[in-house]
Amino acid sequence: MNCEMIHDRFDSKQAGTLDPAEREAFELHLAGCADCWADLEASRFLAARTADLRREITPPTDLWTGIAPRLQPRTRRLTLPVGWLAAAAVLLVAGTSALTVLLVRRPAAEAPTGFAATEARYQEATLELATVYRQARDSLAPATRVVLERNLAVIERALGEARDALRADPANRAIEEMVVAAYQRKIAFLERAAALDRKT
Amino acid sequence: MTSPAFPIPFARTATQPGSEPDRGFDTHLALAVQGDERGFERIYRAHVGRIYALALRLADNAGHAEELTQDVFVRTWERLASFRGESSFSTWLHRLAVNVILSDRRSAWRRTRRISADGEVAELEPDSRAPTPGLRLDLDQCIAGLPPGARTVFVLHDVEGYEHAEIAAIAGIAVGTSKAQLFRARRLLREALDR
Repeated sequence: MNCEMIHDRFDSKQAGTLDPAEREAFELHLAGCADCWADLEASRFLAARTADLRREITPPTDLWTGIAPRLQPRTRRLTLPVGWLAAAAVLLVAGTSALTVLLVRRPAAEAPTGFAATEARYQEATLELATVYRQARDSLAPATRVVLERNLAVIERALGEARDALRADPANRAIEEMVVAAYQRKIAFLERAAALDRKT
Repeated sequence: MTSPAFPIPFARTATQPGSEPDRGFDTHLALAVQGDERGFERIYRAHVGRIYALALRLADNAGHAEELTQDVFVRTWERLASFRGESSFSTWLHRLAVNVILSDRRSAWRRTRRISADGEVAELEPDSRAPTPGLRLDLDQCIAGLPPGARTVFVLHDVEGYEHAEIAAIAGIAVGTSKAQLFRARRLLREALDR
């Protein structure tokens, strides 16, 4: 063994994991190499001192005050069990498909134009999903049902206000988009609410 | 402490006995992953001592160690959503801390080299903090006096328990270089401690 090979085996030597042949070659080299002997002694000496080093040191000042202002808000991520996600995915696909069918059901030539027609399709889609949800909610825990109904009421109130605003200003495209967004929120909510039943 | 309202699939597997500071740690971690700063503050308070100790041994001075510790926790916040519980949170955080600290050193080195190329700085070596002759010093003081390369390898290998292959990968050096730096560090420390 040369000096480099000896160095590579210091930790194994200290851990006692050298095989007999390696140990013999190691000790033979060490007996004739003052440098390696000194290095091994240094390793042993330092190992004991290193084990006593503090692994935790309290900073002299509270560093949090310099951290908190630098934290950018992060979108809260809803983590759900796989089963819930699968059920939600199935309903989402079904709901989207239903919506697509509703939207393309009539030939283009016969389809009514304007926002009223669009809203009618969304209304039809939400009605279908609401029917699915109503069938599911009876099997939900009472507390869960209360929370869902309260949230649904909020969504419907927002939708109602958007529709009232559009009635007052029918040519306003921005309000039309708000109404559509409100329908989409209601659809998404109903899909997720109905999916809860699959799990409980 | 009650469980979080939302299930955290990784939380139990992420916690190994004795590796996390308290029984409520999973809850704080779950809250932090969801973007809750209060939960993250508890994570910070549980781990800051260990991260600051690491930064203090690898940085050039205490002030820089404080800055690096803050950088580590800001980066942790940014990366927290990517924590999957494949290792304990402590291990994940420690590895991230080492990366942040060594990355800062590489950036500083590149800046210094750029200045040097312009002829403004002649020496790359940082300030020498060799122990005062005749004064018996403790090991931490001697580690602080090591050259940066030797100090990094000694701290990661002998203090923190990393393998040479890991150090080589993290620090961007050859395994042989890591070994050579370790023996250089050990010799220097032995000499310093013997004074």
